[in-house]
Amino acid sequence: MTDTALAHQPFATFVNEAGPRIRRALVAAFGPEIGTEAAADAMSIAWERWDLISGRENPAGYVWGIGRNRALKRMGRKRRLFPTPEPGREPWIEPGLPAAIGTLSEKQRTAVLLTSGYGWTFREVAELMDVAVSTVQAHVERGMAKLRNELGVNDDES
Amino acid sequence: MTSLENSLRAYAEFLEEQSIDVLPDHTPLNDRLTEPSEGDVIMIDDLEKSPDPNTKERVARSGRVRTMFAAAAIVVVALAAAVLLWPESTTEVDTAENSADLEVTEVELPTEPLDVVERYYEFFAAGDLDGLGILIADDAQINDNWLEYTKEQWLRRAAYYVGQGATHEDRICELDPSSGAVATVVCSHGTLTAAARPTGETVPIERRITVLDGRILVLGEVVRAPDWITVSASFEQWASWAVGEPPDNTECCEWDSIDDALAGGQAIARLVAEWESDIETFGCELVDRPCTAETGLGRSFVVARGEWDGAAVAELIGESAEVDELATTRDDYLAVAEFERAIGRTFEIIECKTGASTSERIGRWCSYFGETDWSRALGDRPERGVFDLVFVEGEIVEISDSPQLVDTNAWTVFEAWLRDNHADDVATMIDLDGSKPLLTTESIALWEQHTSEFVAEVSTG
Repeated sequence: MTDTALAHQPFATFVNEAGPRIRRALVAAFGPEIGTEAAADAMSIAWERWDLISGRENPAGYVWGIGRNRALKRMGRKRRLFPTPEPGREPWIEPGLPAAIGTLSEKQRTAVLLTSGYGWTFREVAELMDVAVSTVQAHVERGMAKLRNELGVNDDES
Repeated sequence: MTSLENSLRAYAEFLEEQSIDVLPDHTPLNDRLTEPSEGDVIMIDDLEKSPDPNTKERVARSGRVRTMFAAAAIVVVALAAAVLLWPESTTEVDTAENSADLEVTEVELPTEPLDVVERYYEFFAAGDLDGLGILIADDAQINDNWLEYTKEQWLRRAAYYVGQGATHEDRICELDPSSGAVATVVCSHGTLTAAARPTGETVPIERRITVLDGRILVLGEVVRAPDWITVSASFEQWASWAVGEPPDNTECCEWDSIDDALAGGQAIARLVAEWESDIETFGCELVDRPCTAETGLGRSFVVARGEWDGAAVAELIGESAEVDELATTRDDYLAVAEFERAIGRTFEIIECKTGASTSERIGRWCSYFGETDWSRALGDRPERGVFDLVFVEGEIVEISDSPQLVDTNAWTVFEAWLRDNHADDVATMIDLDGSKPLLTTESIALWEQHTSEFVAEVSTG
């Protein structure tokens, strides 16, 4: 279901359809701790104001915006957003990846993790964030280039 | 797929594990509502009363969705219990027999003038426009500072206010002892309209109401603030942005009917609710015009500057933003924060309002009162400055500051003192043309050291 199609849906449908996506987008931007708390805040506000929010053109994007706003306020001086997995975890995760993700801009982190990590399409990211598909593509390309540079990863490795 | 992409996919799985317990996407909401699990604990102290948009019941609010679901479950259970436990007669109000029991009997109206006026305000507070119509004589003379009204026009005006939920605050009504055989009641109150609710600003009203045989014959209203605007400027500007035109605040005479006026008032109330929602959501203040996501982010920018949190400032800024102030790129803001900490620079935000904007680029001017340890030591007043911010897709892409720090009196005095007392350090601290502080680790240490010396010297005269 597209974000626009979620307009005027019952809140329960919205939670099932959009809730996980909003949470993942916020986790991708702000890490699991702040991201999940911000998603919870946003959904709580959405519950209270569903009569207003459900009529918006893009309710999921609007609620994501609430969550982003809350996350920015929660961040304060907390800078270590992305935790390091325990050693020996399967499947293997490049050890420097969490720190490298932390060097990306918020938009780059979001775009890279949602597309390359969670498997979203550029269009899905663009719809939620209410930006152009080309903008998402630019964030992904710059973010991936920066990650490769930070990690010393060969682009052609397969 | 590259090893980097494999790692990203695995890391996304890891992030999912870290967050999934808070917002489970595999559990249908309805299951949670009807079968709350043992882990769903509600912190009663965290609950805030707020209206559920669907049921109008009061529901819980907390910072965690788990709690929200559990709270929702309580509402559902409570509603179910209410239906099950409600007295039988109440659940059958639609039957013919019970409808007869509930038929409206004619309400006995008061005849004492003061009681009649009290009843008028009670009917208004209850939204009972029919009741108001009964109390007002058909040929009543009604006027305010500007207009004379027929009964029908006055009722439309009342409907407009009833529709938006306006209230009469601090009302006092007294019998006018100077009135003769026909009693006159004098009332004063403040009318609080929907748009003024966030500020609590009421418009002072005085009414002289003449009553005869239980009916209002004359109602003369004097608005004690005739230049008061019906809809607050802040709300009006937001509404212009949100719906493309200011809300229709016609009070009486252009409505076609009482129902139209009521609907007009209700439309205002809905807009105000949306406005209040945006204020809270985006973290605006009432002085901000209009309140949008960019306005809230503009405030966050100034607040982070004042907290010397360079990383938080940088988070708000696009990678290739054009910056024209102490910083010249986004990456400079860590050093700017350290510099501003060294000189005790603070920002007290005044307001954020619309700057030059296009459909793609949203401008916000965020003004502030700025001070430094230098200005405080010199006894200078806080200087008003403005950050001119341009947003594209939620990121700041342009920043300028006016006046710049180097244009302030405190900078001029401090720079002269520095050249007189620490000439050897000037080249390390200020660029060649004297237009900007240099923000290296070495220079920031000097800024801190010499600022302390300057403050001590000025303070001791």
